[in-house]
Amino acid sequence: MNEASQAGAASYVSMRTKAVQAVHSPLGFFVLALLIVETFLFGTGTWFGLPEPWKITAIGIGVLLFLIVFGTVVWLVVAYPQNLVFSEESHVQFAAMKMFGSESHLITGRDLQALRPESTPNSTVGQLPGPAQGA
Amino acid sequence: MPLPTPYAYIVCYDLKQPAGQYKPLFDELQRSHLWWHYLTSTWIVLRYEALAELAPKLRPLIFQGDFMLIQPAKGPAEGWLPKDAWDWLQKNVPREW
Repeated sequence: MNEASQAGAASYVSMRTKAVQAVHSPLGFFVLALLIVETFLFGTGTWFGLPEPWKITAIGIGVLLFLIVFGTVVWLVVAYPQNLVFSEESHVQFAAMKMFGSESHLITGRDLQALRPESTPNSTVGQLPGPAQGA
Repeated sequence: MPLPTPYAYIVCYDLKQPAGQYKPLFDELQRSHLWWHYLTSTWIVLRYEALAELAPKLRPLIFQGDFMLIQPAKGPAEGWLPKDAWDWLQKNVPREW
C-alpha cells in the first residue's frame, strides 16, 4: 500500500512537471489553465464527496471559469494572435528574420552579423573650423 | 507637396514592444525611394516628403513609450560598418563637407 501510494505520488509529480514544462507560450499557459479547471470540475463531481447543492454550485463555477478562459483565448486569437503563440524563442527568431541592408540588397539579421565590418573607405577630412576655432 | 528630389533623413528609434508589432513601421520605411538599415535601431531613408510631412506619417506607427528621432542626414560618415553600408552612404547621402 505504501509503495503504491509512493508510486502514485511520483507519477503525479512527474505528470505535473511535464505539464509545466509544456508551457512555452501564452497559448500553452491557457491550455494548462483549462486543464486545471477540468480537474476542478472532475473533482467536484466525483472526488470531493460534496453534498448535492454544493456539487451543482461548484460545477457551475467550473463551467463559468471554462467559458471565461475559452472566451479570452478566442478574443486574443482575433485581436492579438501573435501575442498568443509567441514563445520565448520566437521574439529572438523574429528579430533575427527582420530584413536589413538596403533597397537593392536585402539581408537577414543573421547575414548582417556574419559581415565583416571595417572603417569608412571614404575620406572624412576637410571639416571647416567652427566660429570659435582657428581665429 | 512632394519635394522635387528625394531628401535624406536619418530615423532612429527606441522601441519597447515585441518586434512583430512594428511591421507597419518597417514596411513604411522600406517604401522609401531608397533606404539603408545596417543598424538595429537606425534607418537612413531618401523620401520625397518634407520633414514636416514625414514625421506625421511615421509617428502613428509607434506605440506609447517608444521614442523616435527623424532629422536630415548628412555625410561624411565615420564608424565601423560592412563595406556595402559604406558604399550606399557614399553614393546616396550628401556631404556637409
